[in-house]
Amino acid sequence: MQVIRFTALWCTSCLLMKSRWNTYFSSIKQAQITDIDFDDQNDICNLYKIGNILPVMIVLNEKKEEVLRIVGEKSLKELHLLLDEVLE
Amino acid sequence: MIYLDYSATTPVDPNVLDYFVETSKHFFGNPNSKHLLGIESENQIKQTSAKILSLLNMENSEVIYTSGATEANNLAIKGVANKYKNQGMHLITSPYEHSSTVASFSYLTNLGFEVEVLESRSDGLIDLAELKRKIRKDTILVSIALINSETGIVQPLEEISQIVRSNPTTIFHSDMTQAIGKIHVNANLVDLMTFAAHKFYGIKGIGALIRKNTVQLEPIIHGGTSTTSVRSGTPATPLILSLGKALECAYENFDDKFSHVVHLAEYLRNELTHCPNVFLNSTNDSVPHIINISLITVNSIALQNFLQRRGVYVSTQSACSSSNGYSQLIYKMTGDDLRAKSSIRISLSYLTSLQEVINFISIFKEEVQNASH
Repeated sequence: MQVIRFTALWCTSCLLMKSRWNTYFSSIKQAQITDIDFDDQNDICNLYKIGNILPVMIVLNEKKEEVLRIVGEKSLKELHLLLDEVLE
Repeated sequence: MIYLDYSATTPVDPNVLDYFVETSKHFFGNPNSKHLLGIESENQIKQTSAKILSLLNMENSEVIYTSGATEANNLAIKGVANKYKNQGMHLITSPYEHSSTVASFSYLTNLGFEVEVLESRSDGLIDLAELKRKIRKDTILVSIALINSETGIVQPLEEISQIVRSNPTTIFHSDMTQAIGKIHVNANLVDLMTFAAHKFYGIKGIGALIRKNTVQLEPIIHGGTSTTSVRSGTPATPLILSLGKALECAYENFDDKFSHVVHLAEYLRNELTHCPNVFLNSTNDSVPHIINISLITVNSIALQNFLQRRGVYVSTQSACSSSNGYSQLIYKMTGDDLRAKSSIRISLSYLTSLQEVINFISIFKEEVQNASH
């Protein structure tokens, strides 16, 4: 599974989620994570149709198909609920 | 024109501008030069620093002049983090900060620092109990802005200071950019404070970080010692002197200016709360200078454009959004997507007249009417 995370340096929700992501992904070894800067990498943001709310996390399967999109702030519990099954 | 965006920036006070022009002519010597002209400039800067500290009732502190509040926030946050990283790498901030604070912390997370953002609440205040719980032995910095620029909500500085000081190795920084010139501030409650002149009728391009002498900082701009060891570069003497002048002017007739804004805000709030589909996002904890509202039938950018066409200037908040004026903060506070999409900030000044507010209300009500059809 590939995980793409879209954040901006000035975004409070992104800052908040970075620490939750770190906690969550510390135990997930098989995910390949790519971080994209909302301000500097417009082409990739456009490709994935990143909207107005940040951060965005997209999970792609082995065929590079989007299987999950998480937008905005989520609690650690919500991350587990949304991601555990997909990343299994 | 009805300018109601004084929290974004203020027009320069003519007295400040005159002072800037005069001092530009007289004190052009480089304050780093050791000849008489340089020493004169250096002395003027020293006198200005003493005046600023006196106006803010601060002792045992240094004024570090910067290009503005953004640089001052960067220097405070990165400067403390890099200087004290051997003591700890845990940093705390609030969810109500300016983008320059957030970006500084984001940068530090990329360097391995652990940054905790306090939970947001519907009242726009931080949870003091949560702050108390989160401060650890390795917490080297807590950075919380006194006033949120979007809603005008004032954080309880004294209580926050007490909590931070319960851990003697934690440094307390507060971005007071929206506070200086608007309210009286007890600057002694913090170790580091930030502000910029253009928010209180000074000139753009000059701000300051004030540090208690007990706090050390790692510079972010290197180039040798100037008037301070932590910010290199030839000091902009006339701008620095104009900052002192602007602060002095801001505190002249302060109570009268404040009362005038309170009166305007009461009138405006009362009128707005009687408009259909209008929600007040500012609270009773907000300064009277900032009134954040949502007209939920109109997108904030559309409302801003409508008002602009009628010569009225207000602002929208687009943090955490691209260009549609979506306010993440208002969403967090209210849980209401419509309010987040339609939030605008009206900011008042002692220069605002009651007639301007009345005219604004009249124009705004037209849009309320249009939007209801």
